[in-house]
Amino acid sequence: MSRQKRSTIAISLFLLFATTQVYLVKSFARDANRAANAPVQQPSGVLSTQGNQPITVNGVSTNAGATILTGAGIETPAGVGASIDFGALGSLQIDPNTRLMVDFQNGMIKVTLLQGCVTLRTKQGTRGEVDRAQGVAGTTDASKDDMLHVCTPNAVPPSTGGGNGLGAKVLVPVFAGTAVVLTALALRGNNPSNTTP
Amino acid sequence: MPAETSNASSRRLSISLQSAVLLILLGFLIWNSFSIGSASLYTTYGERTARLDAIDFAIRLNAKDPEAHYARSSILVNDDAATANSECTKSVALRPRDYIFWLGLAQTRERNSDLSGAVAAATEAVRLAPSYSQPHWRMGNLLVRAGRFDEGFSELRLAGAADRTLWPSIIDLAWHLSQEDAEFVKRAVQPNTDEARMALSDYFRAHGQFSEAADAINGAGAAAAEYRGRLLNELITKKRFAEAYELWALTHAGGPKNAVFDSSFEQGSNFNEPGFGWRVGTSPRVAVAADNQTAAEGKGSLKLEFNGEPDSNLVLLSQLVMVEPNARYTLRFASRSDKLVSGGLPVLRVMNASSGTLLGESALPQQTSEWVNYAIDLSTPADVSTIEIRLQRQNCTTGPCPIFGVLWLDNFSLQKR
Repeated sequence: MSRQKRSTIAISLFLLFATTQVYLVKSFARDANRAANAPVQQPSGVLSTQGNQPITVNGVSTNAGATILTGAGIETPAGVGASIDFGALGSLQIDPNTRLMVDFQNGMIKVTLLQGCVTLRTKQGTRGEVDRAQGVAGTTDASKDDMLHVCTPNAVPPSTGGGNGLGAKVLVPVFAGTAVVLTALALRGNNPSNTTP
Repeated sequence: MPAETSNASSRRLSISLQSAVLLILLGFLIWNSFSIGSASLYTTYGERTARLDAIDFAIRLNAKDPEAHYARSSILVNDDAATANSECTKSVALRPRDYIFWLGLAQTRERNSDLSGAVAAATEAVRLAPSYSQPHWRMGNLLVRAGRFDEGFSELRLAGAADRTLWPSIIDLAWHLSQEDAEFVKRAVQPNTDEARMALSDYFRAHGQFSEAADAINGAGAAAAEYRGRLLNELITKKRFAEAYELWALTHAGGPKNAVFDSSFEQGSNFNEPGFGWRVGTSPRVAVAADNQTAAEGKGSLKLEFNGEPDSNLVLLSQLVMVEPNARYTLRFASRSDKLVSGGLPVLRVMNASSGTLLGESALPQQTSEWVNYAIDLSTPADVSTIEIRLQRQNCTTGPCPIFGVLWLDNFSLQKR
């Protein structure tokens, strides 16, 4: 084999090797990109709503049991409160007529309250913060289980008197009615009134 | 006599005993009904007012009422997850064939970090009510939270199939979970009904993913016609012509891309339909219709009959046409007019559909007893994918500026030079 032929083979092999490297690297890079785009498990909350009625999450009507992810925008309509359970982090109670954004990760829950009232409960090891347009409204202590209740100045107060009033309205007539029927049954046949006009 | 007396007294004794037994039985039944009814009443009241004392009283009245235990669990779930779980377990034990209680148990078990137990309870709920949306919805969300995305979205798809109002939430979950990866969302949702396709398309549209929005509505049937029209309108308004064309072309077969649609007005075009067909401006003083009596070529043409229309800015006729950028074209058409009278006669213009700038025009004469062929040469700029052919009127020097007479148009073609 001539020297020229040998050098041609060497150059060809080198070029082949270099080209293979480029394709290999590109292929690995593509796989890495795909892996980066796959969703990963992240901290999440569970939505509960009053009477299992829907509320709005990220502009979409959402039912109880939904998964809440960090960065969610939440809006409760009139008459429907909601709560989000963040598991080991704590929970957030949301009054009716409330709008907020919630961000959370390990050891932190941050609520940006736009309107309404919230009660943030954090467990030991988690720091909670509720912000309003005016700035930070309050924080919870990460060294213990803690709670924070915040309302915006323009919050619509929840309707009062509906609960206890309803009970009285329902129970009193029912029991009074039962008592009247039982009394009437017991006194049947003993007409106390004067039969002679 | 003594025997008769003895018989009578034993009969009385027997009757008295029977009466006593019946009274006791009746009393027991009355008490039972009262306690069951009252417990139910207190449970409802406690649920509505979230009052634990009312629920506790209901349980004291009837400890075997599963509704009362379930209500107690619901009230306690946020504050005392362990007791809530125990109450829900009782309600499931008392009425094991009720999927609602199993779903409640799944929730309380998850609150107590018993994920496998929660999945087991939700699985039982799905088994008891496989056609209902809620068991699939809860199960799907539970699995997603557990990081089992494929199984989770499989359940959520079943939930969406049973209740189409759930689609937006399911799509939103996939969107945020994947950090706005449209491909993942499509894989997660796998839309195979018109409702799912519309929901997915609408979600993409609302999030500015217009190409994906048009793509998602591809396979939808006639039920999506109204939605498709709205999307098309929005895409054109936002000058997303490529996506709009793809969407429009799905339902308008025939004619290669970059050609004038219904060039001889013989396809029975709907002049009010959004898209890339002919559209006419609405005015009570201009009658626009296909004319099957007169044609430059073929069977028909378009006839515009003016009866004093005063607005010289009205776009009388228009069509969007897809073109290639940096190219030279010739637009050809034929026209005939009869006694056109106005200070602002019709003119056919070719505009850049994105910027609204004029690319070429040709004025139309007052009177031509025969058909006359016209040609407008134009060059498309580098950033243009769409042109608009427009029939308008020349500017009037004075107002009002009415127009009378008849104009026919036919035989449009756009050819690359």
